[in-house]
Amino acid sequence: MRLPAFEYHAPTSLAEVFALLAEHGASAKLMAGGTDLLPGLKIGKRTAGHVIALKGVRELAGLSFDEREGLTLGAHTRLFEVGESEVVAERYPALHEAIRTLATVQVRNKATVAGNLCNASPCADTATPLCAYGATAVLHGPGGVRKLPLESFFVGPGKTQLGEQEVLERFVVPPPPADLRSRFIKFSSRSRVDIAAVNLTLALRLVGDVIARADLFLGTVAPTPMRAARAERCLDGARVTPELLERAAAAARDECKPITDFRASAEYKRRIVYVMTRRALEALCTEEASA
Amino acid sequence: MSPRRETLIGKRLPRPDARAKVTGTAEYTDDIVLPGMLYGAMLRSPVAHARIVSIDASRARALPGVKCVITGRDVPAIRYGNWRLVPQLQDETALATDKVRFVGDEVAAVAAIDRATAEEALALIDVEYEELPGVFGVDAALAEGAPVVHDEHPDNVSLTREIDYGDLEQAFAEADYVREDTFTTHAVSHAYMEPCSTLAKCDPDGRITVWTSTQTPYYIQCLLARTMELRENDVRVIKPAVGGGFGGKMELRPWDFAAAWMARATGRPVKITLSRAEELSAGRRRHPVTLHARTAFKKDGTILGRELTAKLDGGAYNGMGPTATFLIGNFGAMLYRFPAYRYRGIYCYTNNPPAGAMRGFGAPQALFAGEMQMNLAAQELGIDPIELRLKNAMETGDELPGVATISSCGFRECLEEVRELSKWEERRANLRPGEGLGLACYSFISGGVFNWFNTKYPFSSAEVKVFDDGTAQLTTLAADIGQGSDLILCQILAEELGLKLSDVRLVTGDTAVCPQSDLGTWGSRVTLMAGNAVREAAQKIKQELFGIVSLDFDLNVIHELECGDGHIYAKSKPKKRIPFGEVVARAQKARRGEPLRATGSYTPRDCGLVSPAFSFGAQVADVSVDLETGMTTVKGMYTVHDCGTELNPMAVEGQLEGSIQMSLGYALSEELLMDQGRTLNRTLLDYKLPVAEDMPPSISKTVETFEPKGPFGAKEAGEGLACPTAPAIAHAVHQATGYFCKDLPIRPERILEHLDRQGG
Repeated sequence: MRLPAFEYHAPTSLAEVFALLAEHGASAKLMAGGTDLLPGLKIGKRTAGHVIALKGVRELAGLSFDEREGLTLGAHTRLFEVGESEVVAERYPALHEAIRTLATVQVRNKATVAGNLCNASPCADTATPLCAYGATAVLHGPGGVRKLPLESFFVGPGKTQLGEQEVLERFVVPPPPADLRSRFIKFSSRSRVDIAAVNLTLALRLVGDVIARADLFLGTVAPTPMRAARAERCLDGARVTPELLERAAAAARDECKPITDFRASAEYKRRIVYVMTRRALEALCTEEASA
Repeated sequence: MSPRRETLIGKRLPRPDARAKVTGTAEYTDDIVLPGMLYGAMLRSPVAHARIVSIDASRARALPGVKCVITGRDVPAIRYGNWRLVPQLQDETALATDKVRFVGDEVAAVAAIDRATAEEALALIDVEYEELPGVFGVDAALAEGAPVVHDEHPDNVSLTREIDYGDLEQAFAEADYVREDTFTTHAVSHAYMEPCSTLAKCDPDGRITVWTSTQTPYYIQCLLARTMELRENDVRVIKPAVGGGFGGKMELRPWDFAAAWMARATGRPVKITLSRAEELSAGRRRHPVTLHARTAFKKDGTILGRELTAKLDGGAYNGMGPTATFLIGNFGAMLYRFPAYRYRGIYCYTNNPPAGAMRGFGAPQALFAGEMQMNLAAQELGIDPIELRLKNAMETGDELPGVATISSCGFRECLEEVRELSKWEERRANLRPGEGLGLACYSFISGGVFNWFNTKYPFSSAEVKVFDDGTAQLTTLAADIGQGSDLILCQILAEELGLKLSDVRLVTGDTAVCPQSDLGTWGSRVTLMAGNAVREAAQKIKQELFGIVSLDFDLNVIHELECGDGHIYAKSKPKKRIPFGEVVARAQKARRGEPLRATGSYTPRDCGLVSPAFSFGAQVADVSVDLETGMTTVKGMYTVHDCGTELNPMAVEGQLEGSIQMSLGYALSEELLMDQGRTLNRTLLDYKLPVAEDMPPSISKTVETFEPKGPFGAKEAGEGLACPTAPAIAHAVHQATGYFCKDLPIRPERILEHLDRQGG
């Protein structure tokens, strides 16, 4: 349970990061907040000969918003900064809620959104809201920049599209339409300071009582955060009725692929997906349209 | 003329250690660093049951930086255990010799120049195991032809305990209604915030000093001396600040021995601190128990008798199990008048990690079964659960034949008050779907009277010195492990001598300095036993001081003198008074300068087999269950309890809040998840301790009684409260959902299964 020895690097620019990655290859690990990497090293779940800290890299810092681009989150934006942001609270309430209930104050003060996502845990709390808001991940390598939708960034537990020489530079989250309604729900056995047994984000737009578009992402119930495509198909263009909401919730329940672990049985998680999806739908469909 | 002098009894006094703990400056064992200190680590068995074929530590010994490696073959295999009275029950050696019996059983220990080297060395110790089939529960352990955990006990039964009185056959023959159920309770961790830590140092003359996180310094001293083949007085145990124990730190532990042995072998101090993963996977835990209860009632609710059988899953060793086996039987007969009672407790060895004492110690299990039965019976007999209890409630003067006498009891008042406090009738009449109000009660001991440790010393001792500057010093081995007893004992002394709390200095936690002896912190014994010892010492001082000044007062008898407000005065003429320090100076002069000191002690006598005094209480849980997810939320807790005189209400409240937090986890979220003897949830992320935000609002009230055997009328507060919370919540869940939990913890899946069956 001791932190094994490694060489620590504190670059201040992306160019330096690329140079270090090129020099040390697979034995180098990028570290953002370190709240996953360092415990992982301690218990021997992960190894690193070199740890490259990203906290001093100026290109990765900061959070900004404008009405055209939307929200830009530098990879090293810490969770508490996102959680405190007024624009996030106002325009991206599901992301705000996810961060508010993620881990503890102490962890949120260190951990970053990029770290939460690059760790690629199926239960990462920031994954489903960012996916539901249509976030784009900007990956920067020595050869240049590539962009991909966040929902295709995840490959499997602990695995992402990030190349060995690449750094996740920032996320861009488009400005949500004024009439977008969204909600994050986390289900766990403790009220706080807990890992989710199930989490999900629903974002939808209503025109009258017809659902113009719904985005539903489920966490912890598949190897990666997953889009509940069948539930969305049920909802898109449909008139809101109690039966519709139940049908969509049942579709989400049936399409998710949870495993039994000691947090809950697969069967129970499916049931929770059904209940939470239906409740999220009910809440958003009855919510007063924002002014 | 003068009103009653000002008293410290019943004052809301904050804990003097609070500031240091909150600001992180309190010094725990792991904070201590000595020159030349080595870091130790324990090698633990990766398998649940195996014969050790060979151990080769040569690669570990060759690793640079490693100063010492010991295995069970390098040290004398001396068996130890707290039950010194019955040596056959002492079944543990510090390091495994021929066999390992649980995942985590200690096999070897290493001391090295730093932790990393010590841990690296552990991986270099080659142990060849011949794996044996294991037993992982009481039924498996008791089955015909089951694998044998200890060869001395081919049936895997370490011991049985019986209690039997009254005519049980007649009771059941006369019964109108018999309630018969089987309950199971689960293993949970103490989850004290400070993991165990030990630092040992050996003097050149071979004497050992050990700083260790313990609730029982005296036990560590005696048992460590024995395993090290030293005299008791050659071992000095110092207890620094301790971050909780809850029963989990009241035995000699293999790392105490390993640190001391390796310190002697190397001549350098050795420190061993456990990780949370070690604590959760190999630390002591609450006994899982299977309880079979039959209770006989008359139609009107009168209890005629009870038969209770308890099978304890003790894990690989006895630990404190023999005591738990008896206490479950005792608690099974508490609270109500049972004209006939028969108990049989069976302590089973299994290949699970050993269980041990834990807050409530047998009572949470016994009272879960007992209180659930009371609630079921109330429903089926059509009697209000509070009325059913009032009908059968114990009262002051009641006896458990041959076992205990109840010298003070406010149980009836607790029931009446909790009915008011929780608005019981009104709330129960207006519950919405998914809501429930549940009740459970408890009774608990104030220290144990049974001398299983076989000490020749008093159970508690105190030495009081007084000085001519008007101050006093209390020296005692009574162990504050976070419960706040240091403050209570100082309060008792200050009260007795009429001094301010700030006039009292406390010296504690050192077997070489404190008077012999004190059995430590367990069974809610400190306030009553150490409190009585402190009072006795203080009263001796007073007698001496009163004698010195009696002629200064125009009195017939010295009994009219009193201490108060830093002075000695006559009760009838308080205006004339002499400063306390001045009287001490005169006493000292009269003694040719010898300081004035006195010792006091307490050992219970003629108090039956269990305890000098019993607390009582009743608790109501207000819950709401999400009928779609099965999740239970506790919305409020109402507690009324009888702890005798409340010496410090603030301390009592702290105990109460803590016990609700702990029992909330026991009822709903905490469980050590086991697979073939392996603990799966080894982090506090996956071991679901309730956090601050899970805490429900809690309202409590104290019923004042006066316990004649306790200091200023005080008795137990806080440990017994670990009992009613789980059955009260389970009762409320039953009302909310119809699901009657007989197997703890209350799982949302089980609630949904029940609702599914009801619905379709």
